Amino acid sequence: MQTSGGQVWTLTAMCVTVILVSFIALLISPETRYVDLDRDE
Amino acid sequence: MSAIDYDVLNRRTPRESKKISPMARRAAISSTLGSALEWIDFTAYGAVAATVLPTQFFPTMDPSTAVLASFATFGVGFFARPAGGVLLGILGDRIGRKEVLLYTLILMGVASFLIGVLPTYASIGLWAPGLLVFLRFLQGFALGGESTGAQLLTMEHAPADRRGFFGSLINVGAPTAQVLSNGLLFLIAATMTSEQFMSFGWRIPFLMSIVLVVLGVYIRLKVEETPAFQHMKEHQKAAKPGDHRRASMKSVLRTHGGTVLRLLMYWAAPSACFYVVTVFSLGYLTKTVGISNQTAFLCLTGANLVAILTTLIAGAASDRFGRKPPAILASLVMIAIALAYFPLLGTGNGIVVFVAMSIFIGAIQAQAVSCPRFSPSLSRPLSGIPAPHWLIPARTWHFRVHHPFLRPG
Repeated sequence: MQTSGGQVWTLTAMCVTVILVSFIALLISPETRYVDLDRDE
Repeated sequence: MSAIDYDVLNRRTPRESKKISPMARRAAISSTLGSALEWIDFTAYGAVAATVLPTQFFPTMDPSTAVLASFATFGVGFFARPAGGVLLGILGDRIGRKEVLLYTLILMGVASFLIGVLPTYASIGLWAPGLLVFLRFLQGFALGGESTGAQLLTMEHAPADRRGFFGSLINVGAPTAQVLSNGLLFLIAATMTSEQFMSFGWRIPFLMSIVLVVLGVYIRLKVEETPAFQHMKEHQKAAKPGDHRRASMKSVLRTHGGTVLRLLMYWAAPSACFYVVTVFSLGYLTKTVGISNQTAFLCLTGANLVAILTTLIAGAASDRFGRKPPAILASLVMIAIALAYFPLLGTGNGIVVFVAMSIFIGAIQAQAVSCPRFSPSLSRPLSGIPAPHWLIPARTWHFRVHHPFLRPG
């Protein structure tokens, strides 16, 4: 399997894109360190 | 409550320090070992998909097409994971996490064992790749359920102020499995001729699945059902048909749709990038860069050892500094290394390759370990809705898999 430079850069672009998508999700997520699993609302 | 007021939740639930109960410790050990055992089978397949399966199951294709076909069978497992997460998750909400975890372990073990004894194309023709796809689907299906249940079992038993670290123990399963399965394959390859390895050596990790299943079942039988699950069952008993407290897929998506969407977005990076490092890189290094199989496997194994450390550190840091700061740092590192990754691999220098892989997969694991905790509402009774835990593996709608969860905490 010979991987061309174009294929590698396509893969790099895909990685960067999904990382940015994840980063956005992270930024808009709340901090949940103190949430209690056992407590009813 | 149609929207979640996290500030209110946080004010109502001040941080409390609780002792680590024997059951919490047992649940963590059980889930960690169980997950690692299942990941060994899953990972072993990924390793041989790049090196063995193309010639054994797709010999009539040209080499490039055979590799693509082999990776396609690997991909079948990723499509099966969401199905396993949803169906086994629903089952887990009905009969308990512990029971489902026993089923997933047995299913994974049987599927992996059968891969180990599967005749090749030379013996049974097209049946060989067909059965391989089916067994691969079962592997992914089982792992989808495993990821969900193991996270819940551990998180729901863990002390409130240590959920980050306890949750990270489950995430250690994937890199640990990489180390063990690749290490085993490396040993087998090193003690056999190439012909022997291609003929039967690659089957050994799959055949060993039976041993792992027996061990895993024994461990899991020692763990009790979680208090949170018992609490949820009480809610369900109190709920009448049509009652808003009776959970359903529709009600959860309606009331927690934003959270589900955030999870899908968040898991895109660790899910996709993990396999770029652990699967694609092997083929790239050996076929394109031209370094030996042994060197490539050694670099990946070393990088996974580093990832085990970063996983645990990130888990502990999320308890100390909050869930977001470690994840933000990991994301920034991921962006930087993603841009430099393939140029670094292209040097062909073993040390440089090892460092690049270590940084990338270490950051991936550090980011992944924080994700589940951003969705507390899906695994806790909220507004009277005992949210089903099948939503936990929402991330698996992305290509792969890697582990489990909406763990709050």
